[in-house]
Formats: sequence, structure tokens, C-alpha cells
Amino acid sequence: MTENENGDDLTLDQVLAIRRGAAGPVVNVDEPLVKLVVFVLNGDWFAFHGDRVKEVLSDCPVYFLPGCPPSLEGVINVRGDIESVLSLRSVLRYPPAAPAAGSRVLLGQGADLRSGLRVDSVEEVMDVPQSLIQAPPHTIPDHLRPLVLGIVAFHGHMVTLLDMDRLLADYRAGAL
Amino acid sequence: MHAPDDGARLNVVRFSAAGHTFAVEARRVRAMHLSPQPQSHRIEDLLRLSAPAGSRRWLTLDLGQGRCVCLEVAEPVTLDQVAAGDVRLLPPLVAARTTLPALAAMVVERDGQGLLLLDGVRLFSPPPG
Repeated sequence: MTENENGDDLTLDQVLAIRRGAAGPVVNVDEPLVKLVVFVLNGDWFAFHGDRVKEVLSDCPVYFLPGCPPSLEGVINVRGDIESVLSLRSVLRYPPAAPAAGSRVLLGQGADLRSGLRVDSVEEVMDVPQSLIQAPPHTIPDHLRPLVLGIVAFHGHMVTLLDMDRLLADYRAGAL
Repeated sequence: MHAPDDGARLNVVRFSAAGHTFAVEARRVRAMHLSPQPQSHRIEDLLRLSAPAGSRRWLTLDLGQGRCVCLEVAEPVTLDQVAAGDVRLLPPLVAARTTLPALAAMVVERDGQGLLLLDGVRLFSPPPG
């Protein structure tokens, strides 16, 4: 395209406006960025704040503990520290599935608690401007609503941002 | 008092229950019997685990204050030592959600297997509430 609607040649401003439009929303570079760890559960995309994920672990054997709820897979040995592992699928009421090759354990921390959280896969660790995180929509299922901080668009997916502090505290209290 | 990593060791009596390896402090175990004892308590019943299988042994536990009880467990039963530095507190979510109220700590052993340490007194305490 080299002409505008009137048949005139494009100005630089018009070209730049087109380029900006193609690049998506204009981002204020001074705006605070939020680091997110984006992961997938049963085809749905979720994220935790990066400062709540201490580590992403792969290929760690889980030691099953008797007397625990099904959502608590067991414990893992992380360089000598014993950490619990929750199945986030189970906690968020998705159907169970055997851990796949791409599954990962997020070592999460919040509310003075720490635990591993098994997810189907980790897609990205990214920085997003705070303003791109929108309020949770009303369509979120009731059981998820207390855990959701907001949503953010990423690679054509709507990513649900979860509250690690609330999740761990509610799990300890038996509310999940 | 020893620091956990100064070579101090904990004497324990290991036994099996429902396919898992448990242990109680050896200082609580006064005797082991090869035949059934009157008024014994099956470990699987106390822990609400699956039905017992295999050879059985009976441990007389001293709970203090003159109270002794008999605990029926599965073989193998062995006297052992674990390094104090290998004893780990339960992760808080496990401690909060486990249905084994007497589960006090665990040891991840060199072979990657877990040894579940039980508090002998809590094993025979009525559940809270």
C-alpha cells in the first residue's frame, strides 16, 4: 500500500501509525512490568506471578505418601529439602491425567508456604505491562473465582492469572 | 543437644504397613514378640490404611507414665539408626492435610525411598475434636 484513501502518497506519520497498529497496542515503556510464568492445564492457559515461582522442576521423582488427599501427589527431594507436590489439575477440578513427558513442577511460594505444583507444561516466562492484566470476567467458574487475579492475552490465548498466596493458604485450610 | 548435621543419630525400629516403611523411636519399644499378644492394635487400623498382609510381629510400646500398649506390625521389623540430619519436617501442606495424625517426620534415604517416622504417643491419642 503506497497511497491513502484520497489517492495521495502516504506520509511518514501515516506509515508509522500503520506500523504501530500492526505491532499491537502502544506500551508505555515506563510502565511497571510484571513477570508471569505461563503454563497449561488441560488445554487452558494460566499464569502465576514470577515472584511466586521459585523454580521450575522437571523429571523429579515423586514419593507417594499414604494418608494424603488425591490432589496431593506426594513429596519430592529438592537438593535435600522435602517439598509437597500438588496436582494443580486436581486442585482446580480438571479431570485426572497421568503426568506427561512435558509436565513440570512449579516450586511455588506464598502465604509463608511453599509447595510444588504439577502442571501439564510451562509455555513461557514473560514480562507484561501491568495495564494489560484485566479484571477477571464474570464467566469464570465459581470455584475458580477466589483464586483469579485477572486475565491477560498472550499468543492468542486468554491467560488466567492465579493467586499463589490464596491457593496455598486455601489448600492448607482444606478449602480446596 | 546435637546440631542435626554433627553426626548425631536417631535409633528407630522400622516396620512395614500397607506396603510403606514406617518407624517409631527405639526408646519407645520395650519388646518384640513373635506371636499374637492380647489387646494388640493393628498399625493399619490406627493409620486407616489397607488390610494387613504378610508375616506379623507385635511390639510393646512404652508411652510413658507407666502406659504400655501392643502394636501389631508387618515384617520386616529391624532396629536401625538414621542420621539426625536426614530427618525432615513434614512439608506444611502435608502436615495440614494428612490423615495420619501420628506422622511426625520423614527421612528420604540414600536409595530415594521414604521412611515415615511416627510419634508413638500420638498414635494412641484420641483424634482432636
